[in-house]
Amino acid sequence: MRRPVRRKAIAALLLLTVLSPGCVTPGFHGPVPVAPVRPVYGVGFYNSPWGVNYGVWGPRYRVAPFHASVHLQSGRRAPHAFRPARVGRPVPSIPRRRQARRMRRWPALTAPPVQWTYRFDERRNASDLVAAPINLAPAGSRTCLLVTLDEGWQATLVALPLTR
Amino acid sequence: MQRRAAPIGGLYLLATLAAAQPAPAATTAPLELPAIVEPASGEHHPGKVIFHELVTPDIGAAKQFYGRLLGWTFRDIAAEGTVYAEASLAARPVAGLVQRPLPPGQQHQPAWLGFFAVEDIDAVVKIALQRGAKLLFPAQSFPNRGRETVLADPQGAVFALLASSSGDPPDVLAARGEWIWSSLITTDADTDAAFYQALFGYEVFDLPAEPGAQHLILAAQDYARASANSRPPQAPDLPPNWLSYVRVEDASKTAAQAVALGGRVLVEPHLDRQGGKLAVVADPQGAPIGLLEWVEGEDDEVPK
Repeated sequence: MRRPVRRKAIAALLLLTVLSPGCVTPGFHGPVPVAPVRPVYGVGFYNSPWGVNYGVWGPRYRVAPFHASVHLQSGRRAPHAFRPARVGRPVPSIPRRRQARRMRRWPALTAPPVQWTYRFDERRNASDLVAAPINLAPAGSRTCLLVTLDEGWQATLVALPLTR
Repeated sequence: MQRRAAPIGGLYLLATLAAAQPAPAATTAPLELPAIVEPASGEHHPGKVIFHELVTPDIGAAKQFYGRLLGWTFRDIAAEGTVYAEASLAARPVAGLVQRPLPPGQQHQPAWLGFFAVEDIDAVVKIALQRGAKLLFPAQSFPNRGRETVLADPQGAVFALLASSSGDPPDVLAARGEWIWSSLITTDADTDAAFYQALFGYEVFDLPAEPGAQHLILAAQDYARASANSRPPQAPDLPPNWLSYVRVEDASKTAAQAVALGGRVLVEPHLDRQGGKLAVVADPQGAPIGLLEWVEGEDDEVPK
């Protein structure tokens, strides 16, 4: 009676160990490297240093959109560099339609599962890697790990790369 | 006793090793940016600002600030030479954060970059360059994301173009914590409006403004997409720049919270059109971001 209980405890411990980083950490990438790194993406936005003195915007300084389409006379009749909107055309607002509620989808596999198999050798008091993974979870997926423990002290870990 | 303890310790160790095993390989992988829309929308809204990226010297501090201020969550995307994090809200991607170390001894300012939707990026770049724009980052394709480029307009305001391979987000009202508006502050709103009209086919509406100032609405597909505004007279040294706004419940409270999180208030909360409040704050690293209240279902009358 004691042996199954102990095995359940071991399995629970394994699950706690691997599921906490596996299912909570998005992707399967470990920690992000800390700077300095060689920049390869995007422009050097520090090319043009500029201050952040936005000043005190006056009460008539308005930049936001209207809440609904409105008819307004043009502020200036002088010639413009741009082609003004047709006379009489209302100034449009931003979209007002609400976002549809997102249905929760079951996660799907983004790549074939990855499997490791370890066998514990009681005589040598050591674990052997029986089967190694052949691929890794792709970026952009969340990885969950399943652990099974059989009667022969063989632990199998299966990583499931899932959609987020 | 020793035999019973050994399997637990051994398996515990191997499980930990197994969980950590793939980590080093992923950091040398090429950068895989997430799709803008998932599942793909197939929609195209040229001239709509569909994504934002922040370049910051301290991505950890930025994540903490925006996570607490706007409720965003983050997913690290490690790739060779780039530290990138995807920001999401309610499982929808809202922004990307890029870490870029500051050159030693130099003081430069982090900034948010707005991405305008286009269908044919090379054609739009050609028009932009013909009209005096400067190419800062040549058009490049990224798997899942699409093709993107970064330009400075003739007045110097930096903006990006993105031909999203998954389509553009649908035209719906931004939820709280999502981007709702973009505003160009420039030295010559009239000329700049003509520039962006050539790029995106905007309808341009000239709104009443105080003497010497200009407030233009840039619209496409019957929706207001952005505004072009003369530089505020109280900020004569402010270089032309695009400023994007996030929808918030209460601009005053959010601005106060930004200060509590280490940010600064650049423009105090004040009433804009329709009584909605607007404020501009800077994150702890100095990147400006706008806050805009937007109340649904309120009276649509326009103040005279």
